[in-house]
Amino acid sequence: MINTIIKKITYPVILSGLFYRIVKTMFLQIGKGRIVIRKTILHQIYFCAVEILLLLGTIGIIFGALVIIQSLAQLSKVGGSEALGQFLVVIIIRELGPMITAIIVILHSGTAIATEVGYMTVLGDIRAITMRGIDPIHFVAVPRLLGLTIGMLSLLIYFDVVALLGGFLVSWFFTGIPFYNFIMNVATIIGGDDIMIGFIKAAFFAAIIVVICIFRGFGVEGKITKLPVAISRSAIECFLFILIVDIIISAIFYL
Amino acid sequence: MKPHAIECINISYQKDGHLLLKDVNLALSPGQRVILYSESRLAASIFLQICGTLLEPKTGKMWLNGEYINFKNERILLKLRRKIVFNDRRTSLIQNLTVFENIALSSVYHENLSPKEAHMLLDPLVKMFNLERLLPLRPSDLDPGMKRRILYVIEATKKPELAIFIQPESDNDRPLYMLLNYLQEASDCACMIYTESMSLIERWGDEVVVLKEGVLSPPMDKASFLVSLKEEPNEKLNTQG
Repeated sequence: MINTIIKKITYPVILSGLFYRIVKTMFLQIGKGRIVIRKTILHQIYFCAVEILLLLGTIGIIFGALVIIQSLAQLSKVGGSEALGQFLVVIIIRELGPMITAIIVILHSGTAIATEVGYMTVLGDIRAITMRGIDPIHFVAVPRLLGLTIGMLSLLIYFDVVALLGGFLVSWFFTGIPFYNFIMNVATIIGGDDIMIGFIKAAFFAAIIVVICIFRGFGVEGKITKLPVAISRSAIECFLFILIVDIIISAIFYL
Repeated sequence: MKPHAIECINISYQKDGHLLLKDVNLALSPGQRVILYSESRLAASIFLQICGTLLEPKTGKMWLNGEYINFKNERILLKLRRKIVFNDRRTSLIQNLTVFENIALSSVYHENLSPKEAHMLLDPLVKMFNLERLLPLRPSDLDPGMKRRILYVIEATKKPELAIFIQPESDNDRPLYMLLNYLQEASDCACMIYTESMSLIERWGDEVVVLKEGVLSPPMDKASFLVSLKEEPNEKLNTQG
């Protein structure tokens, strides 16, 4: 019981240590194996970002539309329909954008990373990499961290744009607001801070996803039966840690 | 004078309360070919994993080509592993790379060669092991014999100081002898094979060291070892050498 509690408490410290090791390796071994690393980064960006554009776009439009429908329903009661853009900015760009993007990335790419690294551990790939004098952290973790971070930031911009578009379509349908007015309404409210904080959140979320999934993947330790547990744990822990970090970042910047 | 390819002093290893290695000493010169003979597969495997820098001994010190092995420093270990061929039944290919990518990985990664340059560099080895047609395939498309040949080519791409083999798959495996000969000719590396195969001992080993109850004998002449085996089958693991 005490051991379990100690493990739970020290877990974030272990993850921080792994993150530090990945970042340190990234800078210490900069330029090493650049052809292989670049290929893996590009593959990661393609897998994590390009492959889910359609899915995330659909979700973005739906969420943008839902936010506007709910906002319209409430704001029309108090005659504040012109504040629609403000609602979109506050809800989509500040909170939902990074969060929804992160959840989709966890489901699509996070679990895939945990599975891939778990298989690499079970099938002896990690040992084979080590025996060739290659640091598995540099070969496996660094390109995934870079690829996923670039992918997350790109997806966040994409999600925000698509969600705003979805919001506009619903607003236009119900209120006939012209596109120019809607965009100007959004543009006057949206600040550089909002975009920057969204990027900060996305970068943190990407780091959390990669570190947890890599850690769980390496932890399979040659036992294939541990793999399903590692995958489900990594998804749950990613979600939990992202919620906690989201609250902390929002509290720091908005309170 | 060239330093020893590997030198171990007072290596000990304990697992689950059992002392598997007791103050083991070994020094191999470049080009020396030694067979490790042991009644305990576990002890032999652990000793060779220690020599291959994959396991840290509980006590003792080791040098590879005169360089002290600090098991705490992962960067130094990674550098040293490029000078060691370590081949056991768990050695595998990287599954999501093609055969060519597997073979060329070290060159592309460590020397920043382009795949085309790596192909040109490795072409003689690929031809020597007759792997041209396998290059675009993935490990899952291959049978165990093919995989073994590819692993041998990967080992041959290194310029090792030390080659370690744990129970090679087949004692009449032509590619194995091709690799062993290539390694010795190309880099004059010391070689240690753990085997119980008499044909491999007779055909390839120069000297034999015997590991019994955690104690390693000094290297003995192959002929003396084979005679002792025939004369005293019950005492075949005599550690006196």
